[in-house]
Amino acid sequence: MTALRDEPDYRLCEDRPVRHTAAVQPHGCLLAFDPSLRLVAASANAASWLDRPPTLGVDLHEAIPGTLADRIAEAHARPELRPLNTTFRVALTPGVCPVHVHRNADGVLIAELLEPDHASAIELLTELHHATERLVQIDHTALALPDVARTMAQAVQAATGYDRVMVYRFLPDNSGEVVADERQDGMEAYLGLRYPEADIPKQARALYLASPMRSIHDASYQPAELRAAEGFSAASLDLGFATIRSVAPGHCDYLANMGVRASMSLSLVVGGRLWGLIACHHRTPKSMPIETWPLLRLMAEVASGRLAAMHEHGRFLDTVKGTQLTQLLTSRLNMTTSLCTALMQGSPNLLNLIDADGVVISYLGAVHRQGAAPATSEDHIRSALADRAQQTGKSVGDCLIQTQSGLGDGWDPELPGVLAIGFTDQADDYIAWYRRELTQTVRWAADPRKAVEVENGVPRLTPRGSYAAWEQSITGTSEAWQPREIESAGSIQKSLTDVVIRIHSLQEEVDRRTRDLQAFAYATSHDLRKPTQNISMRLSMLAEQLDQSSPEIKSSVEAALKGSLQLHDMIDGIDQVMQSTTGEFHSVPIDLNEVLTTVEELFAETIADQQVTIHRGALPIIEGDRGMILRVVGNLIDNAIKYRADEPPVIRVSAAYEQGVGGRIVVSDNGRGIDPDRVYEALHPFKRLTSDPAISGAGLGLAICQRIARRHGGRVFIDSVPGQGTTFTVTLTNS
Amino acid sequence: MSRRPRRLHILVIDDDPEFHEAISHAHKDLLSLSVITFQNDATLALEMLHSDTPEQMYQKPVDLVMLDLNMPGMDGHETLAEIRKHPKTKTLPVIVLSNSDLRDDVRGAYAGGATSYVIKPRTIEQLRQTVLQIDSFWSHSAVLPPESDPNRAE
Repeated sequence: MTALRDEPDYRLCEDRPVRHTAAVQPHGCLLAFDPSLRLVAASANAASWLDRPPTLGVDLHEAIPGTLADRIAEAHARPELRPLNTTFRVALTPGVCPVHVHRNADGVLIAELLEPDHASAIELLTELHHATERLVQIDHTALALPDVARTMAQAVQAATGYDRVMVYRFLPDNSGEVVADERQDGMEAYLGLRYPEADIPKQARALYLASPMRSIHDASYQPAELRAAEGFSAASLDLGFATIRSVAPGHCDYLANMGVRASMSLSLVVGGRLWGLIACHHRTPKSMPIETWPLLRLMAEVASGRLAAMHEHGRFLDTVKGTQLTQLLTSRLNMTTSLCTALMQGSPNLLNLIDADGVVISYLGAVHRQGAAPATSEDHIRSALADRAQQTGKSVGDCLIQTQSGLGDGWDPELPGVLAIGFTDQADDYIAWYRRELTQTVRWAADPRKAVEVENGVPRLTPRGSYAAWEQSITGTSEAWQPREIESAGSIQKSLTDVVIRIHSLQEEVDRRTRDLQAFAYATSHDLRKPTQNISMRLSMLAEQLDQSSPEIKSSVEAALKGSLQLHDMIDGIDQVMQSTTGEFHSVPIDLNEVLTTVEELFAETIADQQVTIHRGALPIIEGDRGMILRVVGNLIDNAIKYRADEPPVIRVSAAYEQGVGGRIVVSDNGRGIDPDRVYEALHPFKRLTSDPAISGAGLGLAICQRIARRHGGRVFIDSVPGQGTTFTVTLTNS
Repeated sequence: MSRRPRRLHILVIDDDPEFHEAISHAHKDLLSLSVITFQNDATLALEMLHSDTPEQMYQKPVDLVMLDLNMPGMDGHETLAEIRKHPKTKTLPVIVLSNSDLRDDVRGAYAGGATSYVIKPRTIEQLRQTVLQIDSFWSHSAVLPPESDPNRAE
């Protein structure tokens, strides 16, 4: 709920007396005794019950007639009636009168003497018992709130006979909404209406939480004021639990304006909070016999219990759903190398976890969006997360922000709802869910801005003359984030934080091992050179010395020499792989025409021998490391010639490049081609896809190309048809 | 400036006896007239180069050095620096013959004043080609190009 414009300050009403009204409704009279049973206050109408005015300031037995005094003293003395709250009937002047005796929070014993009633309490109790049973039977797992509330209202109306029974629910802003409205024909419907906070102000809500039931017998009553003994202030007497307590000024006018003469309300308390009320209205004076009050209170408790069960069940289902989704997402997180893929693609994804219109993951400088997600929002979220972390002293990875109304100036007004979590110690890394603006219409029972008026400098509730519903359109907010959704966001935050920490330490481990391996490969290739050179030198000397007299030995030595020369090539290859992986990288403009010419010169002899044709497409100037690009083109041409088919090789070289975007170098041939299943093996170091002894090489050419492409932000793609040829595409994305 | 082939005195500084043998073999195959002195310790090689009264008086001064880089103790780069520092040898041709093709080695050697950098040949045939080229080039050079030392004895 958004704030209303011209919102009245409800706090102005908070000093309105509710418990200390110093008066009672005149259908009963009230006697108050201090702990020593001295009569300290009595309502002005007490004489009508006692035959004579009670004597204030004296002991109970002196103050009032003997039978009543004895019964009160007896209740006072009975230890099993603690806390004291009991009813009995005594013959008094008007007849046999119900008497309610209780002790208030200050230890004052209060006796309320009521008018004799004629309704059969036994019949009523039976009805109320049935109604309570109906409440017990409500299936909270199958019904939603409107049905549960309607069943409650129906049961209470049937048992009590009030003209109208409503279930009224407090919303988070303390305004109220009618969620069930059972009424006699001809009465105006209140279902769905909203009432402003001031209608049931804070101190009244506090009393309703403590005392589960109150009743107004006849709203047009003239209050019977309390008279106090000397030294006692009637206004200090806490009447919070007195059944005939006179209500706050203005409230009766409020009821009268609705055409209500009698009312009763039962508190609905869920989880220690005032959830709402069962509010009963009657068009003529009415109250429930005092004997039924305990059962009415029990009914209210049962109803509260059903509501609690319904909410618990809803929360349980939500939690189960949330937990299941979180677990599924977490297991996907653990199986993937890409956080964004795990969380955004497939099912379940972040939008299944929390029903929103869009979601954004910002991680390691990359932003992935899905659905409606404003690009303008990123700075807002970053600074909100950073601020929260600073205010709370927590890591950004423990911070969660949520709002229904955007994050300030410049926020996209179409998506005012945002729920965002950090998951590293950087505010740059976050997940944010967005919700669209939700225009909702609230039907107020009356214009809520006129609920409070200031009269002679004193604020008071306006007893509203008009109850014409007043419609308000609420904009600028989204649907609220539910507690379950916030919980789910929190769970995914924990999982992500764990995963990120793990990825981080894994990355460090990988980096460390890579460095070790590189150092090892470097040392190995370097140390192998000398013995390899010794071997090939010796073998070549030996091969020359052997004459044709021992051809077998000679061919063995030549084979050994060939092997040792291959070993040289492999060591060179390792060095080149290392160079292309970790060597220096100088990005400069490179004319691919010039590169291809250099390569043609290098291969001039082979090109002539093997009748190779090289078709040159349009070759632009690209940017990259010159040595590396030369090596890539050289390796691809070398490859195309080596893996030739029977007909003379025809090689086409083309390229495209756009500054700041990237490009590609494409080399295609009419060679023997690569089996599609083995295409990616071709990119592995030392992977030769042929055992043809005529084809020399260490099997490192394409592995080197792949590494060089990676250094240029791209990769090598192989498109091959066995028997027809192969197209190698090297992409470059370096800007 | 003489065009007559000279008899070169080549000093090979290399700790690998295998390489010494290969070089001798190649020279023998080529019927080369060059005199070769092998030294497997760079420090001793420098002493010999810089001594005013060489112990081996019968030998003429060194005309050319073939230097390995990867040696225990004083390595090739340090040896090269010492050669270039000393007035007597600062213009002496030094041809690096190494197994290493590392950028740092190649650049370092040229920056340190190497006359040439050759990757050690893999076969005797390749070695013969290398030795022949070096021999024939330097034995026809009367005065060292490009910064010849006019004080140097022919």
